[in-house]
Amino acid sequence: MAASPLGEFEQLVLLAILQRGDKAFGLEVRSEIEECTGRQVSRGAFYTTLDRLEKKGYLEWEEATPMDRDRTAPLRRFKVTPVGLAALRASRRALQALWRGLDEILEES
Amino acid sequence: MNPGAREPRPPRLGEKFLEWTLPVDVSGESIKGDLDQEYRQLRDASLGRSFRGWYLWEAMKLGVRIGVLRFLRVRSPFVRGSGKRPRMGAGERILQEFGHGTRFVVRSPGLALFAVAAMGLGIGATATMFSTSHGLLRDLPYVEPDRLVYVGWERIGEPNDDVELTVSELAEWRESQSTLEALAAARVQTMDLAGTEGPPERISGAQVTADAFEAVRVQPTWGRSFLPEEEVVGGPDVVLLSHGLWTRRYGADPQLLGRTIRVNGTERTVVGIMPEGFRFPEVEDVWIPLQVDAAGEEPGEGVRRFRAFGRLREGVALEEARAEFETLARRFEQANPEAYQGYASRLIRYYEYFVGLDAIIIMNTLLLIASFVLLIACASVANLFLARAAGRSRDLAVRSAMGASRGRIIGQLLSETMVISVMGGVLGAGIAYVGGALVQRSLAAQLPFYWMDTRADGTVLVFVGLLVLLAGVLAGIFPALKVSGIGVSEVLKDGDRASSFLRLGRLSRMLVVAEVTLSFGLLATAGMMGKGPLLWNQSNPGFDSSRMFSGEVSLRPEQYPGAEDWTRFYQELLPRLETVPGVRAATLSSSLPGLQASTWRFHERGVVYDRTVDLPLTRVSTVAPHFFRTLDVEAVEGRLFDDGDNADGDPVVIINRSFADRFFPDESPLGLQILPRGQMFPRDLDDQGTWVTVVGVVPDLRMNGPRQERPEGIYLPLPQRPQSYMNILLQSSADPEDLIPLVRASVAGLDPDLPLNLPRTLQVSLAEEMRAEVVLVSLLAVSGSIALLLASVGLFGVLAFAVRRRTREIGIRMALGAEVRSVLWQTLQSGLTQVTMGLVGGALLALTLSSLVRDLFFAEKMMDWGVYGVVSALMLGTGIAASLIPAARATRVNPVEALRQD
Repeated sequence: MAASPLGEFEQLVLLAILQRGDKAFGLEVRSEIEECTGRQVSRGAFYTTLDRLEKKGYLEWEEATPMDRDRTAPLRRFKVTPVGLAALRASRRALQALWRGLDEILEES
Repeated sequence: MNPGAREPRPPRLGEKFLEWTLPVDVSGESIKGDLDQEYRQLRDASLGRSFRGWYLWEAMKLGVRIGVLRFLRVRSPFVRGSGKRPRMGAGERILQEFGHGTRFVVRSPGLALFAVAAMGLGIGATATMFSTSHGLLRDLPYVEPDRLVYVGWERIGEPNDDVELTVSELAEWRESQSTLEALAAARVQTMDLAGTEGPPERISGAQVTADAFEAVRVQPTWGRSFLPEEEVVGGPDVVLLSHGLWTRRYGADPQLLGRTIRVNGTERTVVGIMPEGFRFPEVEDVWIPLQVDAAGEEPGEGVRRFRAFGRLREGVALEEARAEFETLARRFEQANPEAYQGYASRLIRYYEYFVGLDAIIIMNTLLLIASFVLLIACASVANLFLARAAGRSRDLAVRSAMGASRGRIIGQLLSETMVISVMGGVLGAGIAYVGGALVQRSLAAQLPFYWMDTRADGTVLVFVGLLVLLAGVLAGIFPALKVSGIGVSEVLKDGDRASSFLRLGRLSRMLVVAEVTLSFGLLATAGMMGKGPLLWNQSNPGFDSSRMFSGEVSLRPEQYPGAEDWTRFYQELLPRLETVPGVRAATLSSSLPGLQASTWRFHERGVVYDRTVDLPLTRVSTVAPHFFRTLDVEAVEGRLFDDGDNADGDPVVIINRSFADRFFPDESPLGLQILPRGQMFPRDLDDQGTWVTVVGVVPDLRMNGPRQERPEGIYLPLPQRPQSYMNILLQSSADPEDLIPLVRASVAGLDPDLPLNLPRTLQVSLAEEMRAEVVLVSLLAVSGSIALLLASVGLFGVLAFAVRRRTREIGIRMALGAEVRSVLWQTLQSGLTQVTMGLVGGALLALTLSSLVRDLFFAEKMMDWGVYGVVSALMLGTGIAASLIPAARATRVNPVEALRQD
């Protein structure tokens, strides 16, 4: 196996990057996760996860031009790599296998 | 918003912190950029709010998280790529372990805070005590101090009694001994300095033999040491000064060398200045040559005031010198068996002579007590970690199932306590630094030897380092071994109940009991010791001390040889003092009112005594006629002293109320007679002295000082009992401090060379009396409070653990209708049981400690119900507080959730 399984939060980060597409900047990705899960994401955990995913080769980033005119600091645009996509697919397969046949029990009322 | 500040900068501190912690590259800058952008957006969105605090807080959190992990390069030991694990070096591994520890601190800040505080206090208390003990017991500041020995006598059977030498013994031994390079001697005495350079003052000095400084290998910085020819009676009047005195009194005047100064009324030529910091033999600042003549003194007679010491010759062992001096001693005994029977020569290391075995034992005992505090701290931290580990046992089992070795798990748990211990060590070093300085400051005036310094130094820091290692391992190894020993399959099967077989309940509870015991013992002892000084400071001494000035004058025998000289001096002094502006009334007394007066024995008329020890005891103060009027005290019965009570008048005495009640309970004491013996240990029962008649009774003016025993006392009129040493007491109409120069001037008007010692307010004099006791009491009270705090942390840990363990049981009981109150009570009860057990043990410990430090008590009683009651209440209160949070948590258990928990 080429890659270790993704943790829950890692999956959330990768999915949020994909959701935001070419607007996947740090702040946007973080608020995407917060909006979709309804939970607070600590900045520390978020950035260290980004760092870890990059080291594993699941994502990469490039510098982008800030839209905010006041921003002088560099802005990173994140992108999921093919390896990252493969890892996400693997996670999805595992989950789907586990979800199989449970729709009735777990259906939301 | 201020339009001029369109571009508000985030707080500098936050920015700096991020600069330190974030990586220095695009990713780091972009992370900070993100936070800055959010900050701007927040500000723009809500007018007027600054969000600076928000930024600071977020920057701290972000920086700590990223910085700590980045610097320590943490990788989880449990989740890793299958099989492709790179091998790590030992250093990297230790770093990694610390990374885990640190991560734990970041994740459970509350627990970590508790643990660090406990550890810090424990390490701090121990290190402060070590610093004090190390500072007091440090080596003598001389070259090769091990070779310096003290020579004297000891009474056989009383090995701690130093008997010093007479002149003839000294002369004889200096001649005949051969094992020491030289036998030097010193005699400490007070020196009165006078001259135009400043007001006359009294300091401690010493007469020394010419070879004394050579023996300790210290030579003057300027000038020379004493010469052998200066050591004979009638030799030149020379003097050596300490660097400190030279600087303070003579303004470091280089011209002083070769000039004369007045010492004890004699002009002496300054021949040298000793090196900076040097004092000798204890805290003396002035030295004159020892000029005595042994001729004309019978062996075995004469004052024993000569402290002999010397340096062992190269290659001579202590035992050889001992043997030689014992031979020399036997010669004295052969020549004069009567005088020397029961005495043996005493030759010990100079260090032992100075510091004394008692001091070494006391300091080590205190250090031991402090180490108990550290042990308690370790126990508390261990308890907290056990409680936490119990909640994590399943998680740990999973990890070990995934292949983490037992060693790895122990390592991880140990690393957590290590990190706590290191942080506690930093806190503890801080405490030791402050504590050592505080002890130094409060004891400075009372430290017997100038080289003592209780401030923390490098050695203390090394000690703290060792404590950190020890404490980290102590606190961590036990929970780690317990927790890592859990069988994997059992936990996974057993769910929440798994923790029950950790079987740490009893041990944790015993730790709490031990903690309560120790803190009770310390606090109760501190209370018993402190009660005296505390109450004393607040009690009414029977007079108003607020406007009183006190100072002392001591007439030197050289200038004032006899009783008539003393009487004349004080008779002239009193009217001068009365005319000082601002003085309402002036008087003299041999002891300050409110402080302990001396104790004498006396005879009662008509009573026959068998032994001298049967003579009753009383406090005695000799006072000038206006003593009571100066203190605004009226006679209860009879009269006060008046000017008729002089040398020609009938011998009279005034007694205090306690004396009257104790010795004359059924009759009026007026007209009755007693015979004061002038000392505490009279040799005989001879009652042919001066009988004095009671003419008045006055209220108790606390002649027993802070002690509770023997409040009975008598006052004798100064003109009938002349004394060379007296206290000046003035009632002032303004601030007594302002009187100091005026009083000095009126003493100088009579004798310009006579120093006025300790001029200050009476209140300061009274407070000074208790200084050492207050320091010791504070040390005990602080240690006790720390122990109490640690005990409550420990109690909290145990109960929290118990509640967590029994969540399921509590849930079931609540589901079955148990009342909140009964659940609450049950938890409280189990906490209080331990506290109560601790109280019983503590009372026993306090009794033991009390008997050890009994001499320091101001009460006769070994046990004081008031003190025990207050301390018990304090401990129970703390125990309840520590139990309440876990108890409240227990009542909030939701039965449904508790049952589902699996």
